[in-house]
Amino acid sequence: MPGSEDRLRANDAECAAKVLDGEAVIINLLNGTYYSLDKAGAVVWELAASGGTVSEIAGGVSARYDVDASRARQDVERLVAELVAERLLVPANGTAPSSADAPSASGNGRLPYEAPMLTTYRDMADLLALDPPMPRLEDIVWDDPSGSSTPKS
Amino acid sequence: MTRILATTPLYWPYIGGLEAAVMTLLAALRERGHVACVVTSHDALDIPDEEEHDGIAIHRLPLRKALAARDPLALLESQRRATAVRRAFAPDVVHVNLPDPGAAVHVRAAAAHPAPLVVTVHTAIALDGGGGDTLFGTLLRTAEWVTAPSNAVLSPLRAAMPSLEERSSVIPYGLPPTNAPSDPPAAPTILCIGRLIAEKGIDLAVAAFGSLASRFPDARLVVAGDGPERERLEQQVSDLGIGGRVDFLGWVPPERMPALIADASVVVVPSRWQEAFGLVALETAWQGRPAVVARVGGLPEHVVDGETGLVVEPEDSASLARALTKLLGDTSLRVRMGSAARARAAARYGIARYADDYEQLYEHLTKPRIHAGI
Repeated sequence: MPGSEDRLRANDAECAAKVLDGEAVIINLLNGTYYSLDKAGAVVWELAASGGTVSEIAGGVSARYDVDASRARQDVERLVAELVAERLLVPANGTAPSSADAPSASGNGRLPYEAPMLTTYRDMADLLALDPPMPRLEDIVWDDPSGSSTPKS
Repeated sequence: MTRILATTPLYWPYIGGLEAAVMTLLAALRERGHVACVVTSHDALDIPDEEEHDGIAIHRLPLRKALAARDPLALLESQRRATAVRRAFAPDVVHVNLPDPGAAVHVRAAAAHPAPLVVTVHTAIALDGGGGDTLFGTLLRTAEWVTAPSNAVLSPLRAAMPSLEERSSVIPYGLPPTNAPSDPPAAPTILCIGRLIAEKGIDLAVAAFGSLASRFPDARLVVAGDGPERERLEQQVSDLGIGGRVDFLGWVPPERMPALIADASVVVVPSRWQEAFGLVALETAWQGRPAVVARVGGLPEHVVDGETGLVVEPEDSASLARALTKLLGDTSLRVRMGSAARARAAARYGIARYADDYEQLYEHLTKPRIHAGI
């Protein structure tokens, strides 16, 4: 468990991650496990992946969402511990502090808060393997009177 | 009229068993006035993102590529498109067909337009540990209703997730009626259909044929399908000295299957794995031919041993040979079983019953719940 001032970073060697439209998807490159985070969870990922500390991340969450600082900190600590346990985040020893700022609240209105939840699907590779390969369509002798080799509609 | 958004791993022009089962259903529902669209994945072919086929809009996302490459951005973009389709189509019901890792994008898309979720499980999939932290478990937990084509698929899921007892049912596949069956072929012909992979057990059929070939000197074995085991099977045929009597046809398109089956005396389904249903045996029944099938998965649920065909233990080429010998040596038995198989298919496995079952399910899930509590 990282200390509140320890910097973190995404474990790029073992996972690929993107954030789009307020949702983060992270994929373990070794086993295909799929993770996603949205809303406050995506903010936590963005700040943590780019070198934030637990304190900075909690500050970023409570700046943007309608949640008090102590609850934000508690939730961030729990989620970061989960992300570290899943090897998606690792300590950023020796790296320079990130320049990423917490996304700021727009105007006075902070967004309604829900505790961030990590969604995990560990069966993606298994499901992909269950999906049988299709015949290569060019190998099928299609019964097409026009003589065309394309599938009939 | 119900608006159905169906999701499938692939769809036309790809035609595996799952795709065929969904295409048949959607075509029948469309004829009844329902409106369907399909969200599916691209694969190897360079075909459009959006296309209409048989009156059904198909939306293809780059899901398989994204999953194979473990590319989170491509998955997020697919999810964005899935969300846009869902919002624009405004379905009354969403019908997810598994196994399909691409279904992950539809879980997230659900909030864009909430609708009852039906999940159909087309393959026997283990639900280890109640399915926590899995896409499969998440879909089964959140579905309003879960269906499978056989008890062989559904029962283990109900055992692993008891809440399914009250919101799941077996809906066997159905097929459109075919022309009255033709006369059986003069020369005894055994037909095997399937991908040439070890799980399909074609080698058991070859071994069985090898042991009965001398007793039926004009009998032939026809193998329709292709796959990685082909070379090994051809070697097996050669080793058994029956090379001139076994035909490997390669892949055969689905519309040729009825005629191919009608040209056979008996169809053999010697699978090793848990066939979710075994559509080949049903196509065989519709052609008025008996099937010899392994006692695996859903096969013995619709092939009635001694009535519509013969059921043998899996991995047992000697039993397979005995069953084939019995049928090849008795024309009247073949005709009797073939007729019984077709009658049973007409009574239980027609397209009307298949479409009725899903139509009623959708209606049940989408009707306003104003009578609740009465």
